[in-house]
Amino acid sequence: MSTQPAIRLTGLTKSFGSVNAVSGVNLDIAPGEFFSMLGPSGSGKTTVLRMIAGFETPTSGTVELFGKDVTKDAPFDRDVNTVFQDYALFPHMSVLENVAYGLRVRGVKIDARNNAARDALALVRLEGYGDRKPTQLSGGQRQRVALARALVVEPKVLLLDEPLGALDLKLREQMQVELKEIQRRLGITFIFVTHDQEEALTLSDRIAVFNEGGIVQLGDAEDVYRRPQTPFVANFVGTSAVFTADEAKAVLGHKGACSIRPEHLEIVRGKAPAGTIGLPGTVAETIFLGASTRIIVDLDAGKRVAVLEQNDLNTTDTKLGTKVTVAVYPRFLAPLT
Amino acid sequence: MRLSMTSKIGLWVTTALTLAFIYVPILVVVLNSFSTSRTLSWPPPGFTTEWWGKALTNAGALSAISTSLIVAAASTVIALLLGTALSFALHRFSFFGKSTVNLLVVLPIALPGIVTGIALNNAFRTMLDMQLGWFTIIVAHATFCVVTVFNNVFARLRRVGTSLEEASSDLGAGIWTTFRLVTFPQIRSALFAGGLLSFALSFDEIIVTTFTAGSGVQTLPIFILDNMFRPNQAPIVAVVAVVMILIAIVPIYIAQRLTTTDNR
Repeated sequence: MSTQPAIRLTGLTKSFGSVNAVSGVNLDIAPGEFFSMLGPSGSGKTTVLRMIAGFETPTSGTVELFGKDVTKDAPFDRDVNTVFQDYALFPHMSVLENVAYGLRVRGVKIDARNNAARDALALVRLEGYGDRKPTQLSGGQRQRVALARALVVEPKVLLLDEPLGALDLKLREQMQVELKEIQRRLGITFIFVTHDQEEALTLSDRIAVFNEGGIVQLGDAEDVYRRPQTPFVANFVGTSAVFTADEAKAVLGHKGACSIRPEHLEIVRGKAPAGTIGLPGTVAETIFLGASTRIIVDLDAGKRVAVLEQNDLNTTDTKLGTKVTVAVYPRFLAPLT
Repeated sequence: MRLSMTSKIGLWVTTALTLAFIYVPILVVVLNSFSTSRTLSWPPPGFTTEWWGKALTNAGALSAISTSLIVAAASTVIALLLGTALSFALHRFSFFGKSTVNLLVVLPIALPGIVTGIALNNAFRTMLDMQLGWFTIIVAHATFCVVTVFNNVFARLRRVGTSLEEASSDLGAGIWTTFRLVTFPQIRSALFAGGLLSFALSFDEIIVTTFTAGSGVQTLPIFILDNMFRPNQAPIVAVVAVVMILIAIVPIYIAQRLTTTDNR
């Protein structure tokens, strides 16, 4: 990369007692990137975020912000701001005072900071809410206030810790679009922590998948989804049928461990199309999902796979116990390391 | 929950009897302070405000009231400072012996007053070679007043958590700014409630006071105990008792109002 990274983590490690919450994370995040840290709870992603923000001191390793080592700096000396999972709005202040807070502690005069706060509220579409108390707002509105409060001080990097976790599905999808728009408009680096794979795939330029305190795969959404490198990624980001090297050889006649997505399998009657591997089996279960149906097939070779079938005009009739053939397109087999 | 009529009546009667048992004697004290009888005989033969006039010009009573107010105020100030510092130490930091310190801090409120009294009396006189007086009473009261402040502030810190302070620090505020703008407003009402309780606790304390006051300083409860059985002093004692009731009720009432509005 020609430009200096916004964030560079080198050998970042954090132990709590004898437990390694994060071990040896190396990562460069480019300026203006929408970067997601995706992983289950306890995978270390939030701890990494807290070390970037300065709330946790690394046991070893360094955090660099635009080339400057900030590992030992207090949170208030770092040019990064955080949108907290529980929003952490100050309950004794009005919405406007909350948003203006970062400017207030920087000594900005009251008129100037209130104007800036009103602009920030407008950015998150909360004009006219300045006089309310945080308790008088809905979850989605509080979320926007927290975002406005972090953005008003114009950070170079914005950290978002599961910011949409507490919202219901519709609101979450709406906020995802807004977040992406705001990020594109302001050109700030966003580091987004989530355990929701769909959210990460939708929003991110790049995704780091975390498991057990380290990054297990790093790449753009398509990379991570299409070419999962480990069984963990294959099943944490979406679902996959995972074949060990032995299974792959016995069932697929394929060399080396691999995985395949349910939507890349096809149920056929009779002979499998040319160029595919046909696997005979019995329908064990069907789960109707609306636009698609998930069909679980017990292969005769002794492996259970899931097939996602679109409910379009050519839907096959698959009752429980039906003998079917599952067609595997070899080019969709993702090799595992 | 739905209750049958009989159990409702039963509960009402029990409640009324219990409250009557607590408050009727207090009411009697109030009536006695206006009684024409010198020996607090019952029923009062007549009513007069003579004792109120006498009590309010009685040098001993007045000085006892001001002594008690000063002692309560001083021990409350000490309790606020130490109690707050303690609750922050025990909530925010982990250190060797933390749970022991926690126990030792709370223990004085459970220890029998007479034990605390004897122990402090001994320590002040024989070990430290000090004259008993203002200083020793205030220190003795502070030992249990600290607990009420600590309990209130500690509970508040637990409830509020640290995320607001993290947010403040994240937005660029230094440690003192964060304390002034975020932490203090969050614990203010807990400090107030703890302080009031501590004031009330010190104001009517008698056992520890007896052992640490010496002969020169007389607090209000000690004044009452000394004068209760003296001839002609009983009605004045009743007046002083009513004054004490008033001074004790107001802070407790305010403290309770504060905690309920906070919980809403």
